[in-house]
Amino acid sequence: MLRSLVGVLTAFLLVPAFGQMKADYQLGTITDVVARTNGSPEDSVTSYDISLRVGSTLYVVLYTPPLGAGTPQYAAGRELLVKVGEKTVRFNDMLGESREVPIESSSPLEPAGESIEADPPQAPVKATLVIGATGVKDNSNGSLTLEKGNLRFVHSKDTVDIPAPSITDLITGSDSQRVIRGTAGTISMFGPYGSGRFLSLFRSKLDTLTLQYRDPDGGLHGLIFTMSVGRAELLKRQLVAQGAHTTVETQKSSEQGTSKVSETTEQKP
Amino acid sequence: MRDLDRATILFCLMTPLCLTGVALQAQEKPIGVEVEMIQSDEVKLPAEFRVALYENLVQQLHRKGTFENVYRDGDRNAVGRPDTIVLHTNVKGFKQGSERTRQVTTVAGATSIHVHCRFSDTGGHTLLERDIEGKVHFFGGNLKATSDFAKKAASVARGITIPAHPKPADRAATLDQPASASMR
Repeated sequence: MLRSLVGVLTAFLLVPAFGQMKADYQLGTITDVVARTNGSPEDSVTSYDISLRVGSTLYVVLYTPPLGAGTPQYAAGRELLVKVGEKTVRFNDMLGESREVPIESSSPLEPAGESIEADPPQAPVKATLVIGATGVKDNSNGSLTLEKGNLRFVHSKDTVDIPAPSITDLITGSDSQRVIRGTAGTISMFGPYGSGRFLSLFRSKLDTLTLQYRDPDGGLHGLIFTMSVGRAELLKRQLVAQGAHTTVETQKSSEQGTSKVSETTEQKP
Repeated sequence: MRDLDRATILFCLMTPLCLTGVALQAQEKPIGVEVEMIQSDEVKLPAEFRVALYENLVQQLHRKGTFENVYRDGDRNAVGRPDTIVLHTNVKGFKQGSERTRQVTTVAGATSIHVHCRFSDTGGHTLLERDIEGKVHFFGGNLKATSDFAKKAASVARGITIPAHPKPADRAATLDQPASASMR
């Protein structure tokens, strides 16, 4: 009787301990991955600077993949449970092994709900043009910037400029893509014993930005971009602030209940 | 008597040929096409699908080379051109599948879009109506269904003809005649 009572009491004592352990871990999202090279192109990439968003803080951690563990170039958008320490971030890899990476820097993220004018100027955003730009091939990778009231997409030597006031509709969405894609992805689908299908299960999240604009002749154009998670909404807010129109209110203004964006609803010709 | 029989036979043979010739002359290929923005009154279509359908249509019509000019919705250059047709599209059905499901199961997760296409002349008279389906079964993302639809729609557009328009000289002549005599 006494033994069973002690057993029950021990179990009750252990429950909060497990709860505490789970609470230490938080959901983080990988927002960017930058490969480190030693300068010469012959050197293979051995480590990566990974931007990790946890709550309202953005951490940049140094990650060195173990031998044969693959490369994390396409990890942007992936979510994982992390435990943030003073100088390190701990996480479990795909094999369930616990790993610890050093924090290089940390910066607070701007909380949603502040004024549109307070948005800082945005650095170039890596984006993929899915379809729509004249003179640029579909599914081209490039960078998106907002310069002098123009949305600029640069892909190698090709540049597409869209004046923000000519944008008649601007909608953000979410999507996902296969972690291993391209030619390697297609070949991997024919892997033996269903390994290709297994690899198809691993996908990373994406943001989509769909916009419609009119050219000087009045012709309607449509463009679709995909980019890392969290970038599209920020870009949309900045475009709306510079005169772009939208039929769907931005997250910020809908939270505030202001009519600033609702005034700019699409006006069909 | 024999001459009369021969003349009758000749008349019977020639008359249909002449009428066919007249009918053939009365039709001509349109030079331009204006693509209107995709409408989706009955189904809720995500914005990226709407834009992808529209852009793929414009691209495919360019690539097929059937039309010299492909105008976008609202293009002022298309106004007042009788040799141009207008493509109106309305999405009637949409089923969004999953790329992951397609790749894992092979048989499930297909994406399909049913679009009602109406080709009309600039006056709004319907020339051709057709329901076209775009789908993706295995390879590619969900948006590939829009490309499949656009290829089919561009093929359908190849066979369209419009009533012949009078040439400038003929038009001047017809102005003096009653309205019923002019061709439209």
